[in-house]
Amino acid sequence: MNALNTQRPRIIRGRGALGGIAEGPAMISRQTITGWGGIDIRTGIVVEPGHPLEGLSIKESVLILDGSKGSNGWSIFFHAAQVSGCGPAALVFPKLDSRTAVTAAVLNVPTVTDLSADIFALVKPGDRLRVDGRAGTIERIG
Amino acid sequence: MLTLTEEEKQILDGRQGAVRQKALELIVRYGEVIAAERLCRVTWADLFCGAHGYLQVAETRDFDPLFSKMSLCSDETVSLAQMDQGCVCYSGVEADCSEVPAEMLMDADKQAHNRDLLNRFVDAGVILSGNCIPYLTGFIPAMGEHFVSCESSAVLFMNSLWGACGNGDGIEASFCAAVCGRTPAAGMHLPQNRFGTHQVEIAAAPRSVHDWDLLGYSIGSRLPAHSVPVIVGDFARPNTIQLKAFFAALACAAGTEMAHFVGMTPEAPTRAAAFGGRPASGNLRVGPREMVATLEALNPHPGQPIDYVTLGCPHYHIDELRKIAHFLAGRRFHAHTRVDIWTTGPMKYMADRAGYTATIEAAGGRVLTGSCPSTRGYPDGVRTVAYDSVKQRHSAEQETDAVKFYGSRQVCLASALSGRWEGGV
Repeated sequence: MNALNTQRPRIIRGRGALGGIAEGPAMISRQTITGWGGIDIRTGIVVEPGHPLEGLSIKESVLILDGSKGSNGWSIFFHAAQVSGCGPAALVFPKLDSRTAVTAAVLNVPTVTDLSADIFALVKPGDRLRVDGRAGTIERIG
Repeated sequence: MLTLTEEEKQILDGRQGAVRQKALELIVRYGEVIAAERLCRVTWADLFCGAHGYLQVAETRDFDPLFSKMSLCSDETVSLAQMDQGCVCYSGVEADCSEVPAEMLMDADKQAHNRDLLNRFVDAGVILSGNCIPYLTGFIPAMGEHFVSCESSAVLFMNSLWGACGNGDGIEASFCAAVCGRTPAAGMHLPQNRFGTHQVEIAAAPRSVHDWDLLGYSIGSRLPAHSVPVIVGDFARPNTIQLKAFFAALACAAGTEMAHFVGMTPEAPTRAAAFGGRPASGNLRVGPREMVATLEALNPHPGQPIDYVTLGCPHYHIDELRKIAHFLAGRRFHAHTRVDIWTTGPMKYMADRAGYTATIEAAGGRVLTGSCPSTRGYPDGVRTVAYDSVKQRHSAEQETDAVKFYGSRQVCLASALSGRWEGGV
């Protein structure tokens, strides 16, 4: 663990929106993904051209995005990826909108929202996280 | 804490059947996620029916397991009989065009599957609307009425122009709402969430559909997430057809569910009313410089021969078809440029009667209904495409590797006549 990591708080708190505990590497971007067509539904790989996460898979990740954008067909692409066995392990949204809330309900995985800190400044891509959707915590575990 | 009515408890207990129970389970979970305190009664539902591409992951073709897994989000298979009796249901955009079968890209097997699925929805009481403009074809939730729609542009249109109440939600939640007649009382269903948050000043003089299309995208790509813009400025009042383009562009760029035009939006008789007496939490000014920058970013390529021109996103109004027919009279598209013009059945019926369809076909174009390249795919061999809709141009980024051009309808038609892109960069 480097100096930067030791200075970052280990736990970020928010509202537990959907219960359960899950762990996974952080897939994090302030730039949200276009749901409709932005994800390969067979592999979970982000295919939105030019997106910071392009080429990476949401499979078994802790997916952290700042809202939704584009078509109302947002949840269905994450849902289809999950049916293919490539869904995320947990979801974190700093603030919910109707599309991200539906996505959480559809995927039915641990979800935390209404965060007390700027998660984009505190979590780096690939950080290993544990999300507790009942307690409303996101803990960095590696 | 979500509180349910006695009837909602009965539905959740399964006393009104397994389908309504599964549908309400998803709606309740959605309500808990979004911290809703109650549900509201949904009376209009614009759905997304048919054999859409993403359903392939379910590895079944049978209606009930497919609908249970992909729409009700249930691993247990239940059988759909009827949609909620108090809810008018539209089927939405189709997986391929309604002209069966000659104009379809789907093979015969997929066409049959699509028809099978649609027939089950018809049996369940869904109206085969076949369009992305429900608000122009009889889907009319009035002020304060709660609706769901799978079309982002339709949600923005009906919230903003009619004062009807709907969220973006998603395809699964819309199906569940249509089956159980409920959705969480959250987001745009609550008056306090509908007030403006940001002032957007239009420092330009938009006159055409294209101007409003470009403005919608220019604003949307600069607007913070979750904002409700209040549009102000010294501009001529836009008509419904211009706003159709504006709302589609704004919704696709920013996910906006509600916007206020002072003097047009029922909840915005004044600027102060639009903001609910609260100060704006941000200001944005969009003018010619931003519009030109947006246009340039969408047209990075030098002009070249155009293989395909696709018009009608959102689906064209009959007056747009009339203008095209008027312009085309006696002209003929370039032999190597394919032109598809998208609308919906009732509009095409009017276009057929007035002779607009015949004029367009005589020019070498086609008037197609029900679908669009985003849901049906692109014809084989298309290397260059021209769009008059920024939404379609935007969506195409993930849908085709073809070189893309965006301009006004006039520029697209001129390009279709000459066979080369006639717009500026």
